[in-house]
Amino acid sequence: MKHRLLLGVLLLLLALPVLVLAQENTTVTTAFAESQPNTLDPHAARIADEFLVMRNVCEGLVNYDPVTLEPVPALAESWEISEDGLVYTFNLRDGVTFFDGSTLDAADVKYSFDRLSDPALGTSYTAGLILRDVAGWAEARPVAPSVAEGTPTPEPIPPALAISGVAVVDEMTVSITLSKPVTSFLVRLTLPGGVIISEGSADGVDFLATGPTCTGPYSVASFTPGDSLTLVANENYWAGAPDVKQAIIRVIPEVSTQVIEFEAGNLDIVTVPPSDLPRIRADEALSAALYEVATLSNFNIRINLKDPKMGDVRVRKALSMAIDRQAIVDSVLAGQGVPAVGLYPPGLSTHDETFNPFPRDIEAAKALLAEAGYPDGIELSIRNDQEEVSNRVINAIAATVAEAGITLNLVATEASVYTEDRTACTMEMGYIRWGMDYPDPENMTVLLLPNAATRVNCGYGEVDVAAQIGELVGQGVSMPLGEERDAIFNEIERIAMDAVLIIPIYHGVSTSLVNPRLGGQPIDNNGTRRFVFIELE
Amino acid sequence: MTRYLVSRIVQLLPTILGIYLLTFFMMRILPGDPAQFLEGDRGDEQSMAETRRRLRLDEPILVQLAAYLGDTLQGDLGRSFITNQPVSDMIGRAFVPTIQLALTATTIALILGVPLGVVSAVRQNSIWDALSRLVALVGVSIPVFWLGLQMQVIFGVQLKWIPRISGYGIDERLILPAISASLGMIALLTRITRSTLLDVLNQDYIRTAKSKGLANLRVLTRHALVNALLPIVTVWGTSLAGLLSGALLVETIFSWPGMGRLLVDSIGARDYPMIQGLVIAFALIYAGINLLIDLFYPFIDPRIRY
Repeated sequence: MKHRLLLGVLLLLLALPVLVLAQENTTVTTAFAESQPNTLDPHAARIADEFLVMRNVCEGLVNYDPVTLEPVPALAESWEISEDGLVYTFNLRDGVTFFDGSTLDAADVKYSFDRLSDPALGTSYTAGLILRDVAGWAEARPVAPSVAEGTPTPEPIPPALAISGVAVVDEMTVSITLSKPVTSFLVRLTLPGGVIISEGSADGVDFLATGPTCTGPYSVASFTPGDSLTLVANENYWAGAPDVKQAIIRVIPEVSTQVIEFEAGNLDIVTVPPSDLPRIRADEALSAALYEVATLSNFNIRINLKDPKMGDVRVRKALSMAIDRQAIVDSVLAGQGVPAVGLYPPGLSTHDETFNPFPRDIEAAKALLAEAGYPDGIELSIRNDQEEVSNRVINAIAATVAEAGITLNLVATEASVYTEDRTACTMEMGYIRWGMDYPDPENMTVLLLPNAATRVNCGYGEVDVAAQIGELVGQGVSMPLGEERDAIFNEIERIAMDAVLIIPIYHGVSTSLVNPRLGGQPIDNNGTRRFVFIELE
Repeated sequence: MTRYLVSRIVQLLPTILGIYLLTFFMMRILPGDPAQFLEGDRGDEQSMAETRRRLRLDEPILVQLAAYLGDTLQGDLGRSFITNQPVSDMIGRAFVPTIQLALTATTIALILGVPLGVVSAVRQNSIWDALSRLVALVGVSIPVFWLGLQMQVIFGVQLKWIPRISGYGIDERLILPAISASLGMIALLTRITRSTLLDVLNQDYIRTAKSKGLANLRVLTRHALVNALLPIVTVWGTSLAGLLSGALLVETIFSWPGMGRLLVDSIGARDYPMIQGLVIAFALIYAGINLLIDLFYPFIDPRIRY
């Protein structure tokens, strides 16, 4: 008897490491790419680290397909769009439960969108992207009279605190009425701000401590700012419980440390900075773990068209023609990118491989400069924040344009100083790392419009093609998806590049190291880590 | 003694107020706007205006000052612009890791730096002296950033002696950041111990003690070292205060959630309430440690009395 007990204990001890191992294998550890979330409120989320949490924890009426990025049913099982393109009717999925146990119904949807429309909530631009074309937006966000420091503020118009265009039809049906037909509305609904939380769950709750009450494949188990955030699998997830049972996202501000932690076996997924790439590619084991995703982005130079030098299209064109984009991608970026000569990144239906308005031509650039009154070359300055990679890119640009007699000086300051000066139109050019908010060409045209992001586009309203671009964008926005719509957006691209309204440099590629034990699709084509799509053996 | 304490604390109040006002106006003179930072590239004019109103940046600057100062006097440091969490909570959370790291690092520095300095003074111009001078030189000149990453690769990836190389915890994760943070201090303490001890060793009373026939060790500990202690304690204390206001680089490389990172992030984002709160905390830390050092002096040097 005694012996048998001993044997049992021994067997158990032998099995213990296996048990522990098995348990660990369903945990995935990674790190926030930039810093850490400042909020866990989906309706106030605005930075990539917050989006990472929201994309894994919450869902909206529609979500995007991880491969095609097209809208697919999520909390809405199906929907109908009225013939005039104004009314979207969503049929909600039956039997979906929130983390608090309550069942999804139309009231939750109404509650969530009303909350998103509340200006007191925070500064999420996704609220505007989702709701600005929904009926009632003007009442929810009454335009504030302009204010400057030191001047007494006029009494603000009280916001409606609800968005009238979102209505409960019956318990499981919701309608959203737009103020004008907008084709990209469904895609915009997939933005993190469009998620549905349980009715009343936000009242008096500190989301930073608890995480939001959503319906997604994971819920926030704990968050210790400065340390880590832990997600646990939602076993009741309507699409089936995920393979990965626990995901730990650590706060590691230094990217080099993230890579070292991966090499030490402590992290399963990390982003790789270009400077580490050559070393990683040279290492057999590490290079096998490389995982590349082309991001929908356009890293470009935005121009102050009010500036006397940059206001001349010949100067802009000469600069653009003098840049050796391929050399920059090959050297500074170690291949993490695709040279950009237009607006749209590869992956969008409007991306045109043959479009090449700026073939590198030093002689032509010199001739243009001479024509513009700078036969002996020109000295220009470009501003940027202190992000390391982009400053190395700008220095490489400066090196390649020097051949054409252009002296390009980089002035790098803190981000808040840079944005302030850009808004005040006191610089000649500014470097922009623009990642698309949603996969529709319309989102790229924001860079060309004076009133979509007024604060950063200096003189874009006064340029002679402004009216033409504005009209075409207005047309394209409400046209049904297809070749005709694409043709309009390609026309916009052609006009913008003829006038050199921006100088595109490259489309980004995000490179990560992923532990080979993680199968499936750990990173979706939007560049987001989605633990639900990881398959474990 | 009590009178001395009270007067020191009373003197502190105008200092803190001055620092508070200076920070308040300096932050607003500095270019950069918190609302701009929050809005980033995406916000339009309308959301900018909403943000400015929400953060009360649209009010006249003196009204802002009165509101801030009023709240501060009632012990309310306000909420962070970025996280909307109470500033005092955030400082409290960052203070614990900071004090743990600072105390560990200064202890290591004390244990290594003082003996190295002693050896180097007693065996002046010997190989030990040269060695300790080399340590001091390396300590002040090696960039912490480089050293930290190298140690991570060597001890974490290659030797695998330290399984977890970054992050917060009172376990193996404390080792590398503490060593990194202590290095500069070891150098400083070695140099200061060596030079003051050399000074003391040349004094008449040391010669007297030696001629009395006292053992060398006793001369060193009872007569020389005690008299050399004053500058050592002073240097140690100010270094501790420096580390308590955050060892930014070490905290960044090792993901240590301390005050240094909090301060730099807050300045970058122009998070006025957070900066204001941190500056007060740092002023109190410096003043507190200076006071403690001053109170400690009479125990070392009986000629000092308060």
